[in-house]
Amino acid sequence: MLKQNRIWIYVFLLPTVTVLGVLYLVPTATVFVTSFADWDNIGEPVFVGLSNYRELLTLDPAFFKALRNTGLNSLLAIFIHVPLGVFVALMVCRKPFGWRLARNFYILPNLISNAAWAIIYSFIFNPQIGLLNEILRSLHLIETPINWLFNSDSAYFAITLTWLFYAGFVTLITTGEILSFPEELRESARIDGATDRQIDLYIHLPMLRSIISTGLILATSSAILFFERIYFLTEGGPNNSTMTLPVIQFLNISRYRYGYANSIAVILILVGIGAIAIINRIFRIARD
Amino acid sequence: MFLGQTLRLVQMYRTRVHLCVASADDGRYARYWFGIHAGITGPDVSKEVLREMRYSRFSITTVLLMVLLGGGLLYSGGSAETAQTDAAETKVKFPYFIVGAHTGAAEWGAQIQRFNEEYDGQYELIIEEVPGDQNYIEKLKVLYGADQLPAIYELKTDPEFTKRILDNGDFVDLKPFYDAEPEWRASFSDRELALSATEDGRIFGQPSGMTSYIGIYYNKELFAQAGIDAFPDTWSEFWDACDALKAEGINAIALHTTETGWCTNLMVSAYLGARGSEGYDFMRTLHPTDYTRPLLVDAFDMVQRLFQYAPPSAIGGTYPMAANDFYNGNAAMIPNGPWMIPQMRDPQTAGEGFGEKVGYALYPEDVAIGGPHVIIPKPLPTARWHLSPHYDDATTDAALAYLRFIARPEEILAWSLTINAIPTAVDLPDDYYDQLDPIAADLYELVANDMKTSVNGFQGVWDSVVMNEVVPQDMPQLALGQITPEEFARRMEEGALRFQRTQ
Repeated sequence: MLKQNRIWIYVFLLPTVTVLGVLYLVPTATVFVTSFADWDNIGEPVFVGLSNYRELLTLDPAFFKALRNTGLNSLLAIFIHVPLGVFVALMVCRKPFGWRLARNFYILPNLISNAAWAIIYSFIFNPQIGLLNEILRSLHLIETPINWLFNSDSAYFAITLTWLFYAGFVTLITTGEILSFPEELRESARIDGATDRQIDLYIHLPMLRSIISTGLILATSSAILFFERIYFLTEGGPNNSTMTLPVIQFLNISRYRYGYANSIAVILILVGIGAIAIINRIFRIARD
Repeated sequence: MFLGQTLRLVQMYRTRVHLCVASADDGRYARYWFGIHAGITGPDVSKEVLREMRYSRFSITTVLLMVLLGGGLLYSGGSAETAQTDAAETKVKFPYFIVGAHTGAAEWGAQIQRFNEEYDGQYELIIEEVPGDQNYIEKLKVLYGADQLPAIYELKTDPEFTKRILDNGDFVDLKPFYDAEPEWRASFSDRELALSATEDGRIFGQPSGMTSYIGIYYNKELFAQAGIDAFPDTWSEFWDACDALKAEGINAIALHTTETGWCTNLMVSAYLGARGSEGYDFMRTLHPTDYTRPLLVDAFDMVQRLFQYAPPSAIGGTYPMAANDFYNGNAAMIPNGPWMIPQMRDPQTAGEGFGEKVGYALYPEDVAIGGPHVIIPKPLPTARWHLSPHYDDATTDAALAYLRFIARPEEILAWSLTINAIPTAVDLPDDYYDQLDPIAADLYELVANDMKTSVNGFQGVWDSVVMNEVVPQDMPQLALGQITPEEFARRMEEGALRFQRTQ
């Protein structure tokens, strides 16, 4: 490419880079700096050193539970959520009868807002009129209704059920990728006697490495930033059993503890960068 | 319409950027784009490039328009919560929550209209509707954080936010105005004005000029079904009534644990109010930390027991769910204030004739919550209406005119009748109590004749960590019997101490 043309590319990229800088880099830098300050977002930040981090690590009873939940959510996303989405995509791409309908139904939950889902699930898990208790009672599996969302033994399980099996986005991007593969590949494999399972295993999956990596990054970052459904359904309770870092952050923001909330944000950013780095590393190793 | 135009412009701008990038491969278009600005044209201009040039002129116009419109958007956005002043009329726009389906919305809207009509051509109040108390407070906090505190605002019961406003001096001192206009001042009792005064004698905000008590509602039909003739006088009788209702398959009381556990913690407040000076004083202490004392453990034991008589969905339930439990006969009692009465009378909310089944009582041991006798803990003054000091004189004058207007005796009477409250300083007409809803009148009769104690409600004294984090987090476990009252008390204390450490 000519050097002159490259200059023009930089010129036209400049507005985007500027906007990104203003909207992301500056706030991120602000978050990092004020995480070492006592700041209420109204007055001037007062530098307090590592005090916010010390409090977070030693005094906040919710922090380690939130960290544990974030880790668990990420693992569930990696080992169940994304594989399930890929599996559905592979099945859909075999184009069985009604595959379009099935694909659309599977993707449908992604079109419903998190707040609306929270309301739907609050009724499903309702101990008095909830669908889940009614089904279990009709099957004689339970006698007395269970308060799924507010019993500390079942709350995490219930919250997890609200997202774990809805991998519509992963299915969508994986289906798109599979359908973009040349049909000749599959045809030649079939001529060589490969079954559908073998085609999936030895042709599709290796070629899907990049898109699965993308799906893992998206699913893991969603798991790390999991907020709306938890906030609307349990507010992180009972006894922090469904707590996540963004919920603690929100609770502290509502108390004007912006400096403390930003220390949580810094940890969130670090956790996110770490998770993405690990995923990239694993898939680069696989490629090598 | 404005939004539609902006979106269309954004779409056009996106198309333009796409064309720019597409033609960047040979640099011709880019040279032209900048050539236009520099007034340079070259001899090697093709028709295609000229076409693009025309388009680029349009693009430049588009971008300029966007900048102008964007500027307009920012301008109007910036003034959304503030005031606009023109030569003819001062307009004051502010958010408020008594709107929409709120029981007081009709009367409050009418009051605003009366003001606007009276001051037509001089002032106009414009309300931004923010349904829901909590949403309003959250909005107010966001505006405050953005340095856009509305010209007129209400703080509700949020001690931390109140303290922040006070510490930063973000209020207009009303004392000089009250001193200059005794008639205006006369709409409020000395006690109210004392409560609204800061330590250095400034008046933090305008009191409501009225008071009300919070009692406990009961469904007379369900009580009769369980063989209960009258609301229980003592806690012992209260538990007997709960057992009798339960025996009939009736949930005795509507409760909830989310938000701040409003209904449940009203019961705690009332229970402490019945436990002599120790409980009474505890509820007068701002941000108490001693939740593990035996009295409080006992109160939490009461809560655990109470949930055995509540609908199962009370654990993790919200206030609207608790209210619905009461409206639809799924629970026989609910603690709440008299502002709930209009909803009980509303056939759309509670069904035809529901209000006739409802009685309103003092809590056991003749305790009420709130009222003019409770002592709000100092140094936190309390008032209803506040003015921001960050506006020009015309806007402040308009806001003051509104406060002056709503302090008129006729306006105070109209509003107090709407919410079934009692004016504190305005002379009451002889038939005032007859004009109140009979449900509220019942309570006020009990207050006048039988009440022994009126105790502070918890929301005015407990801290935000306890109310907004520990209660919704841990009360479900207490209710389900997963933790003991002692453990719950320990967690409350831990939360209160955490709050103290961060102040």
